[in-house]
Amino acid sequence: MIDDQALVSQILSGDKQAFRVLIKQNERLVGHMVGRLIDRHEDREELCQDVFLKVYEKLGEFTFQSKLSTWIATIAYRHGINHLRKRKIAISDLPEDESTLERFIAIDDASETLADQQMDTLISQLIEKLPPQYKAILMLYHIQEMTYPEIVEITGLPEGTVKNYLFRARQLLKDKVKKYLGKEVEL
Amino acid sequence: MKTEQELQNDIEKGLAGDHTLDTKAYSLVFSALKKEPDYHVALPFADRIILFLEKKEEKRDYWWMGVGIFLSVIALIVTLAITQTQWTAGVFTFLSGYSGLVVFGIAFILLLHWVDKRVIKKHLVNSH
Repeated sequence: MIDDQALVSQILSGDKQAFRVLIKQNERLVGHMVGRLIDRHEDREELCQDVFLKVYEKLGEFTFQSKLSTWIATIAYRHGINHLRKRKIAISDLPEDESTLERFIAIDDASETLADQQMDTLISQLIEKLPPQYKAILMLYHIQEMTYPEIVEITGLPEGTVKNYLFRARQLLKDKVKKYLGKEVEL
Repeated sequence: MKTEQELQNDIEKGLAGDHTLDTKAYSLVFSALKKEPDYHVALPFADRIILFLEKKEEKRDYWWMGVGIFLSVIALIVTLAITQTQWTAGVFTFLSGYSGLVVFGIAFILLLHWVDKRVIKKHLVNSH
């Protein structure tokens, strides 16, 4: 695998194949980030493309202070958040609104027991219902296995807020799952 | 009794912990969080971006060529104005004896341009 510095210098010298390598290396990361932030399927592909075009345009400004993937994730995150702001979609309404929390847990009364696979599907659906910033942070931490400082750099949020969002999102999901499990125990 | 934070920390560290409903629910949540989201970019994604960039650069090349031609015309006009050139048919009479050479010259320049665009540049990109 080519290291970040060599790859960037090849791209800056006009090598399109090197840029293809960069896209291949980071398309999952960008796809996951955009997929977590943006609900509308038709907007996602266009946004992913815009992110990589922005990366190509701004690559000369990359200073190697962080990993290239962290820098690309930062661009993807900001692009996604700007898109949501333009569409006036709330990005993190959970902390300020306790009733949302209760509403979230109350969605869909559990009336039947679920197999493990169905439970996985159910949790995935619950994750989709979380606010975009929560989803992005969960994805960066659990799937991309990024550290807190990396997530702080990408999101621009204080470390305490990142930890708090992570904690609350997990707790929220746990409470919902617990409700289903409780029904199973009763049966 | 453990706090929520302690429960989360234990599950994250892979510690089995007690067998309460909370622990089981957290285990399921942490396991589901490790799963990749459904959304992935379409397969020829990289190709489409590269094609888009190439077209964009091609457009930019033509734009600069237009700017070059425009500036050349301006330079010619300014030169003619400064030197107060008098236009007479006689200026071009020497060309009439070499019309074949003039046509060949223009065709050769166009051919060179075409070879540069279609063969040399493409070969350089593919060789990387």
